[in-house]
Amino acid sequence: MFPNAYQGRVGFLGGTVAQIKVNEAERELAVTVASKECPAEDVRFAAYLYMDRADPLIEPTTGGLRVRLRYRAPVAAGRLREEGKAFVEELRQQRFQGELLARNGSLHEYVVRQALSGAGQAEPAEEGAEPELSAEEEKELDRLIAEVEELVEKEAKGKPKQAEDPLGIRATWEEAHGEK
Amino acid sequence: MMWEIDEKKGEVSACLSGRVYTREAMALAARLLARRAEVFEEKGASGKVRITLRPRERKPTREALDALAGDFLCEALNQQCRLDTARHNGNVQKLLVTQALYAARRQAEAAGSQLSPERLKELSAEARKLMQEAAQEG
Amino acid sequence: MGRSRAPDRTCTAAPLYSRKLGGRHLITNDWGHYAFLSQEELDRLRAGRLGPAESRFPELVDKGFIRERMDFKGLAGDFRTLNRFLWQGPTLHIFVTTLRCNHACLYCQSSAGRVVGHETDMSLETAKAAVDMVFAGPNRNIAIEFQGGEPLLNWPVVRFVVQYARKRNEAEKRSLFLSVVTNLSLMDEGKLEFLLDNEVSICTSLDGPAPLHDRNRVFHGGSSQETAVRWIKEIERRRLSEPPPRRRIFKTSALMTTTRFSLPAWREIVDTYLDAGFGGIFLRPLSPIGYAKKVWGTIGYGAEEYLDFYRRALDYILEINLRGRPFIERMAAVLAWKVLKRRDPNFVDCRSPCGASIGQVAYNFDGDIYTCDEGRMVAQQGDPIFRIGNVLRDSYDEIMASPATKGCCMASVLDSQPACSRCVYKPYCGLCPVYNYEAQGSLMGQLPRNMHCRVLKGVFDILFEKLDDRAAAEVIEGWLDSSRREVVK
Repeated sequence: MFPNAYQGRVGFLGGTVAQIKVNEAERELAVTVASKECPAEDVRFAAYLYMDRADPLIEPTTGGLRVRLRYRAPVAAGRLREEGKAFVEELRQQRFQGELLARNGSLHEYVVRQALSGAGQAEPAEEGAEPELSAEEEKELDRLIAEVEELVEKEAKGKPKQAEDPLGIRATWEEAHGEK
Repeated sequence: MMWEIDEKKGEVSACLSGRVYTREAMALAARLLARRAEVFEEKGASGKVRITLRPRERKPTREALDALAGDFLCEALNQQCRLDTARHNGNVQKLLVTQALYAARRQAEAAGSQLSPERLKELSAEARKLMQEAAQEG
Repeated sequence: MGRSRAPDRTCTAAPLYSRKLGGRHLITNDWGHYAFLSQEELDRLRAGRLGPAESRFPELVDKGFIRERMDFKGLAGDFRTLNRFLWQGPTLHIFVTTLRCNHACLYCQSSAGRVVGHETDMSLETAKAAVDMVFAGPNRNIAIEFQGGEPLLNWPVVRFVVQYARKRNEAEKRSLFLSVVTNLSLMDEGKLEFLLDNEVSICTSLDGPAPLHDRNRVFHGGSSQETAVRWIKEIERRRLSEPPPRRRIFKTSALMTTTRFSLPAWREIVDTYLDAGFGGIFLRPLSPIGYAKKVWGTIGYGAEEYLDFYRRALDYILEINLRGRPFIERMAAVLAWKVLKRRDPNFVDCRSPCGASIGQVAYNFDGDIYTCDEGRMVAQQGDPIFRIGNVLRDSYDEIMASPATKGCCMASVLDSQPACSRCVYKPYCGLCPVYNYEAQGSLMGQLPRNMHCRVLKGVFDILFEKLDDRAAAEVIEGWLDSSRREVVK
């Protein structure tokens, strides 16, 4: 597939390498990365962003994915190598964004719901107040955050209800928070 | 090559893995390119799908087939990424669309600008007078 | 409502977006906040090691970047302020009173027809129904804008709409703003007096110095540019010389359209606006929509070409400001308004969802209603996909429930777009489903290959680069106060 082509390895996340292969004659760049280093969705995303300059094809390999990018315009000699390194950097960036999304998606949705339901007026800060929380209060805060995330997840699972009542206006307290 | 061109048949084919691209994404891409080409699919081994594109133009050039294959791959990935995005943001999207359309559809009466039917009738009559004046001068 | 923790607790990143700009990293979030971080700071934030002892910590907490310290209520309020339009219906109502025009502009989105003949004139009956439709909407703030063709070619309808809208508003008591977009070649004393008496704002086109303007905007009655500048100066003379408070005269505004021929003339274009007495300029890129799409090969350009033009012109404008003369670049000012004030500037082109139908509506001469003027242009080329109804047959509710209204709304929510959903400019940006449809064949488009996206991203890059420079940032912040003041007597 890549006769007489450049092969390189780039340090990726946690020291594991991503493999870069270029075929200058075909204007093609291939980057292989292990699935445990970068989930498929984030790999797709990085390839998607490169659609501005290349046509993408993603293929599974043993334990990973290979992204093939065929550049539409002629590429200067040696340039594809740099593009490969830049693409690995993009994979790194998208992996971080993917992690943020996975961890915080429910919070994002929660705040938007709060905004749409009119609960968005910030309380004025008290003068000079910056209280330290006790250990019990910190535990309570953690519990509250977890509760919020669970609530949003529960509501997301109940799809028919979502369609009819996206703000959960008609839900009883018990339905929303579970029986005590 | 990422795809195979058959100039004699006027076709180009590419293999997409079902582990990377859902069938829905491929189907959406095919629909969007339907004006330019007929699209055929063949199920292959290991979850692969062979997509063949036959342009509607007669005797397509090699460059045209090249471009068509590239466009299909772009669109398939575009659609797959849209589906990926919807899994995360579908609820937020629905909330925002619902809010925007609801606000736009509230009638003027609901917003508090309640003109009585009599007043509306008076205004309509005044409008007719203005129209007559305009028609005469115009 | 701030919360603090015991000093040894780590704090992780809240939902945020990032992009490398120059030597630093710009981060933003959906609540409209932004910050610049060094590589090291970003790495520590990502790893959960940017804790309370750090100097940047309080700022990042205030801006909602620290997950464990998110003030949900406050951030929800920020979101509401930034997206205030979500609670309003359409503000802008475009009345295309005629397709006739006495100019033959190279890029004309109005796909103008001939001067004679009235088959493409809006009738009085249609005009009345359109005004009634305007007041059927819920928004307390209404703007009616006359466009064409050349709207003054159907003067009886323009005059009627002004009179009827004002009369109707005496009863409705809303905030009603009227404007006419005209090439000024048909302006005369009688029309001007009527418009000024009725507080109609006048907007014209000014593409640059006469050779450039007249090349873009072909007028067989003489120099289009000289005619426009003459009237601009006359209206300004009246505005300044009339004793108050006889009537409220708005300063004439001008729109500039960038064609390929404009690209090398960035300095001359800005100088033309300065000489004509304007306080600012809107460096609008051209879109390949409607007629412009057909002639794109002649008058169009790529995103990088436009961005080069924009950067040079903006640098020149900032230089002018630093030398002591206030002069605004309006696109930068509008976007900076969102970034710095985190408030909605009521700019329908840059919001999520976009303003199609729900922010603006276009009434064609025949009573057909469209999602926007660009949607009407597409129909003019034979594709009615963006038509949402007709003033003589459909109710307001029906047009707001039309498939095109819903389709554009759904397609333009940035959270549904892969490219936008992870983009650092998402809190401030917007896309155009009409552009996507015309340029890429679908409402959603393919944003990595989309010129509209590339241009906006480039403009944001330039803007944030300037905001990271103290002198430039001071100038731009100064624009935010003056750009929102009506320049009236």
